[in-house]
Amino acid sequence: MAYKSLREFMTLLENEADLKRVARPVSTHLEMTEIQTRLLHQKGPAVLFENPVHEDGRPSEMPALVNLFGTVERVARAVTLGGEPRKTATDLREAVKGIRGEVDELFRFAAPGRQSREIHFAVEVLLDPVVRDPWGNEVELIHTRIRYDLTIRRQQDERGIERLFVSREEARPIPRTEDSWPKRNRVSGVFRKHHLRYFSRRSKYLSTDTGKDDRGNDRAFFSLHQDGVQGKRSPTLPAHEAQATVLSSITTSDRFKHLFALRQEMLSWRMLQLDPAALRRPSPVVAPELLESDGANLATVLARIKAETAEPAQPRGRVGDIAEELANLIPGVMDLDVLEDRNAREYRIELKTRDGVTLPSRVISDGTLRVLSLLTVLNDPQHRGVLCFEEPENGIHPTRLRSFIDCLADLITDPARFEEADTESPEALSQLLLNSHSPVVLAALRQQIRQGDGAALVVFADVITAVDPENRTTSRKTRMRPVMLEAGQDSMLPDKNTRGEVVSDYEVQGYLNTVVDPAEWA
Amino acid sequence: MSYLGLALFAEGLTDHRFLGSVLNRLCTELCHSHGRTPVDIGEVLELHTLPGFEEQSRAERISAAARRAATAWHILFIHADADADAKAAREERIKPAMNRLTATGEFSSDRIVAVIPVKMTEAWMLADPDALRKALHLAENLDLELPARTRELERLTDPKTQLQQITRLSSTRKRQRRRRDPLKSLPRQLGDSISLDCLRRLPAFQTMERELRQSLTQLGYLHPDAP
Repeated sequence: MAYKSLREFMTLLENEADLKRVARPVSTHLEMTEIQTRLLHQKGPAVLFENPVHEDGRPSEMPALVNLFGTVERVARAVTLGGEPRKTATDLREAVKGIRGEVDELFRFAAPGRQSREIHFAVEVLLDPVVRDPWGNEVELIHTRIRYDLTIRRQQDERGIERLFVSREEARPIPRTEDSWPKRNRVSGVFRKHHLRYFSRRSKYLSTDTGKDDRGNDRAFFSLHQDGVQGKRSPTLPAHEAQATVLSSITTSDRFKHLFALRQEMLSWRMLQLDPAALRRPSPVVAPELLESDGANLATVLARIKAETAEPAQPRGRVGDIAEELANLIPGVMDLDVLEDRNAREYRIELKTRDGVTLPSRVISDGTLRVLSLLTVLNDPQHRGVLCFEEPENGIHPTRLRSFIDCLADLITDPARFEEADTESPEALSQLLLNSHSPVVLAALRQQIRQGDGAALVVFADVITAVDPENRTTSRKTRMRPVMLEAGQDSMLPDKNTRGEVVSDYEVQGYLNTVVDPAEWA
Repeated sequence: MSYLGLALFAEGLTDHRFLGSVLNRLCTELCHSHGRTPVDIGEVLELHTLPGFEEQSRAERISAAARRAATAWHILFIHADADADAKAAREERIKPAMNRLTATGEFSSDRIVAVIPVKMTEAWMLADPDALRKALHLAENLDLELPARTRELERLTDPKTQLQQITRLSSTRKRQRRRRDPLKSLPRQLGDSISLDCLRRLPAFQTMERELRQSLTQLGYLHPDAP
């Protein structure tokens, strides 16, 4: 258990108004159980009866705690994960584990010896209108556009150890009037109707406020605000030494459904950092269901997709589609299958080539396995949310790269081409974030946009110098600028305000021309 | 927070590599010392003749590329080597392009800065012997046989040959197989490391910096009463 004692767990619940003390005498005979039964129905708090009375009227020597596991949320909180309290899925230190470099190196170096203490994150999301929690409850959201802001601060604790703290956390609805996303992007009427939901709420779901603590000092608090469930006081949590986000503690959908949906959405975001050696190995039958970051369970995932999507007419289900797409992209590949080795309790992948040879995954090239992994995730009916993938151009022939990009565009949600038919068998929203250095990828996306299909947005990243004469600092930072690829925008007169904020056509051409000998075009 | 975009039309690749870095550093330093507000400064965008414009006049080639990239820059540097005569270089190789860009009223002349090294850019690359020695991994006290006073570099008849001779000091000691010409990587490396104060001893650099400061002041980046 993460808690040293029941008392410790109770203190935690009490601090968050999830445990009530009753000082008045209450009888252990019938009275106490009736209160407990009613509380259970109302998903009420745990209660500590401090002065129970025996049936015969004698005061009891010990207090009684009831309804401790009266809600799923409290059960989840009481169990531990790897010895750590499961109040949250992960704390900050855990969350940054897989990231490049050490934690403190993630903070920007403003100048030699001067490193910033805070990182600010902000994200605006479009949530799926229906979410499910792990206990099978399904909730429908009335608002699907939410902005989440998070500030993480690096600070020494009282023992001088460098730690990460959440210093500000906020989630708020994006009102229809302030939402520029559907204005800047092509969105079909059907998509608008089914996915863009706005409720007239203005108040935040989660905020960081200042108030007075018991001693009258100014203190920051995180406040969770009511979300459709009436009659409960909104809990507040002290913010001065938060080492995990409040959002990560919202593990059930019953009280704060929009925050829960936001958390589920962000949990589903994945970055594939494939390891060719891991991809080549067969994977155990009991491997995780969703593709792991290094791709180690690729064969198991394919087997699961095959089982889930098989139909009498197409016994291999979507694995057949994946095979077809792969054959279209990789010269010489004809077919793909996943086989079970019952003795070893493993799945393995096999490719059939045009000349009739069957290749086990051990000898398949890195590039082919990368393409296969990406196609697998995007064809997975369980896949949702954002998938990040680096350098799709690696291991694929430049002449096929264009088809690959087109194929990827067809596998993700396209708000512009979303039709009534798409609402009949609704699939979770899916988005792909690629980074690339390839002019071929840029050319392919440009062509897609020019032809009016694909909802791609291209952003150039470069490093610029930020000069602050008042504070006498000069630092380097990454700049992100959208590329204007829409037809007709090339001739747009430069607007003074957009200078430096959008990528000029000249820069795009220069990028595309990098494959040509400069002497030929300059 | 405002943004300062820089673009450069230079005569050759060496000029682009060296001047691009120097001009970015110069603007950064000016905004740091005399700036009015915080500003983000981008890398200098290299402007080249657009495909299909090869046969056009130099003025047209510059103006077409600058227009195509217009959303990217606030200040356009036009480079022309002075060769024998700096005045003639300005009249013949900068002014016509400038006129073409300002004629329509779309771009003000404040936004265009001439970069005219006397003789050629290589003279500027010789301005800081310490940076040269470091870039070429030469001994710290090695005599590069350069003029005693930096401003005299403008009197060298052929700074390019001089620079080549210096690079040979480093390449003779390297392995035979290494065919790479140090002149290819040197311009960018020097551009990143050359002392701006050394460059300021060259009259042609002083002229350019004066024009740049005027432009940056006109455009509101620098304090009008900066020293």
